[in-house]
Amino acid sequence: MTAARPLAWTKDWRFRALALVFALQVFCSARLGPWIHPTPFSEEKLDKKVPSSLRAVGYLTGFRLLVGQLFWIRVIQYYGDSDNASNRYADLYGYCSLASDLNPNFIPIYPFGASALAFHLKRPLEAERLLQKGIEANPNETRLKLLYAAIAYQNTGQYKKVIPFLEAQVVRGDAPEMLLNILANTYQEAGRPQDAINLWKRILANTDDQATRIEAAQKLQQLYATLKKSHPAP
Amino acid sequence: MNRILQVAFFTYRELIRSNILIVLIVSILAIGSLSFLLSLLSYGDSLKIFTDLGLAGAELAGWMVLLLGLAVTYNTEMDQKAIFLQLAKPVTRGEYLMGRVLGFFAVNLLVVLGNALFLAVMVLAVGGSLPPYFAVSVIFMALEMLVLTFLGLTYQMIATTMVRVVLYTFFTVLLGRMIGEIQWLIEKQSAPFLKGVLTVVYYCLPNLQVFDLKDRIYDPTLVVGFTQWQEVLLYSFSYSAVVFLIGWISLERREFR
Amino acid sequence: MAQPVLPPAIRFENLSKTYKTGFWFKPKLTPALKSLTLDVHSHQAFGLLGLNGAGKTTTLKVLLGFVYPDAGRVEILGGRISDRRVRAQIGYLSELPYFSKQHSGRELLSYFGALHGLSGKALAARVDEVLELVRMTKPAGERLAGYSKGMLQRIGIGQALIGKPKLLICDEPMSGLDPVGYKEMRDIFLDLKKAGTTLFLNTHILDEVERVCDRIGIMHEGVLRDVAPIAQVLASKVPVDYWIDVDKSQAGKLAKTPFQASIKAHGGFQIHGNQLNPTLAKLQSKRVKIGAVRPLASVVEAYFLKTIGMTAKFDPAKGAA
Repeated sequence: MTAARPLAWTKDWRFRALALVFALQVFCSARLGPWIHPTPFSEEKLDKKVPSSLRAVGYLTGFRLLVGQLFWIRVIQYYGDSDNASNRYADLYGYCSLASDLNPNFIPIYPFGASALAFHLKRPLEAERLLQKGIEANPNETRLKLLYAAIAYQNTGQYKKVIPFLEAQVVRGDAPEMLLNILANTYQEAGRPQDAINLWKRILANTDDQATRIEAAQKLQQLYATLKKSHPAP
Repeated sequence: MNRILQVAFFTYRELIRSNILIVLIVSILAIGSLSFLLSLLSYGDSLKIFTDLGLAGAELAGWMVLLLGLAVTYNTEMDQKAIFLQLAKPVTRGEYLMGRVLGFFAVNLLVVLGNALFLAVMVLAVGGSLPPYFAVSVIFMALEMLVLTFLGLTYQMIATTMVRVVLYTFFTVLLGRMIGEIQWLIEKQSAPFLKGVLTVVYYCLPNLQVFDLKDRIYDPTLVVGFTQWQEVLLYSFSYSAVVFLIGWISLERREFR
Repeated sequence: MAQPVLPPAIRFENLSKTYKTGFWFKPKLTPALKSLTLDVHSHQAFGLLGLNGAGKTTTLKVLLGFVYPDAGRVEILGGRISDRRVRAQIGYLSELPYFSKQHSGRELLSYFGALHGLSGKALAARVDEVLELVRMTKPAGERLAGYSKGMLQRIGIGQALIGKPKLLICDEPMSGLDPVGYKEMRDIFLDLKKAGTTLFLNTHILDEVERVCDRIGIMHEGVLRDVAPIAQVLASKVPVDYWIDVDKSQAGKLAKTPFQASIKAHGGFQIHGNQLNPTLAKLQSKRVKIGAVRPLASVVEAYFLKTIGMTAKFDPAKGAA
């Protein structure tokens, strides 16, 4: 006759097996530690006006790319909202930085943010900072380096040196439309109105965006007027 | 072994027939169309966006099915005491637990692979290409589901209410995801006692970041070689074994009043 | 020639169990079993009787290893319940058995059969046989979600029988059954008994005990008060109370007797069994018209009530036994 109670833990082989496999998992976990863990917190101080709750959600749930992509949409919305033009899109860098923290290998954030900051908003230092992050996370992305150089030249007013870098970007099929606008403006600044006209015509023919169409038409009008003044009809 | 498979198949059939298949279909359609919509709304590499969102969605669907399944079957097995009749049969509690885990895991695998396959077909159909570690990230996701299934079912055997099972599983998942943050805290900590406590917590929690390749799929520094495969596989199996043994011992010692 | 003495199918020895509930630092202790010692003989049907909360279900749970005793020992079919070879010889039906509703009756029995190690044609044949036995062949393909309570109970007994058990343990097997199902279940038990299966029935339906069981045990407040062969119980001279129906208009003829108030209020009165004949004689002498004389309990019921220190009381709403 036997007692109907479970085995004492000292007599239960499963406790010994448990100790063994626990040690094994600790060993594996220790070996995997440095391989897989990303830097959990950004050391960079962020603008407090920019909400970072989404970033926290991304980190805490492990769905960084998912949240990063949602945040990327917010970046586009922020830049697309003309109400923010009144304070010259003050939080644009913060938004781009958050999106890139969550999704550091998503390349479109860097050229988009950097181009807008440097060429449109004339804040090249923020643009350079964003590009530095992008280059650090994606060392093989040549176009980020090109853009970084282009902004550096533009920052020092050397428009003619900027043009080859921007042209190299535009030749790529996936260059954002905004970069074409920037190149056209740079042609104009560098005293190449005919190249600017050709590019604005190309933008006008290809864009689906109404605001860009209006801008292109206005620019063309302005450029033709400039050309007329410098080369009056005989 | 046959008894384990019998329990597994019984569990699988129970889950598949209890509206979880609907979750699978709805999740595939919802995640697919939401990812597609967001990729249209967004700007930049839309296929990349679609892939990112789709992979995250596949994992979310896996979690959802696990939590839902745990809640549904807790009611049948524990509250309504269907477990009594099974444990009175010539099946050990270890076999029963392992069978339940395998049945759950089969459903989870179906959900994760179904979503990933749908995503891959969609990307390829529109002329895109899949990132090099796409398949590896899906396999790692499946390994994560295996570990989480062992955890969830063990909680089901230990916890006394369905709400507790779901909460324990959910918070373990969250903490397992924060393992990088815990590691960071350990590095920053100077007090030896707190450092020790955090280290124990670090090694007791499931290291779910090990399996999270979907968030690093475009990382150019990522290398998944033979060593990594070996270590990740060994880790997932050893951690699962730890959880299984705890579950088995607990189930054997649990009193069903 | 003397019958060979068989080892008991179940043996409890000084089994005790106290449930602890409430906060861990200040638990509430509820004693459920107090030094239970009992042998259940092989090839017999044993009925464990008791009120709700008497400790019957705890006894079964200890027997099946679902709860662990604080003290004492239990032996089942010569071994331990944790031994799978022992469990292979046991069939168990819980009270109001619950199954996953997503399976059909046939799938459920096949699953339980497979857990008993059956497979292929042997499994299919056994499933058919059991379905026939519990009269569930026709709806066997339907999902359990559509089954009535009685059908679920039959499938429940089916799963208990699938492994051809030597010992069948049932907790309130008649719960939820209609009169036809009740009779069918009783017939199944009688057939099993005839075939040599040991039955351990946990019940409070005394009629079932009387017809099926060879021995009974009476539990009350965690203590086994009595164990006796059913024949001995039936032959016992336990006095049974009676109810005598008397029309209210006759109450006047019984002035100054203790019955008058009850007749006025309920149309009758209750008397102890040994007072029956003198009381009837008295009523006849006073020319009181008697409606009916009814026993308030069966012999088994009276024996049970006497053992636990209670008596049957007439409930005007329910009538007599």
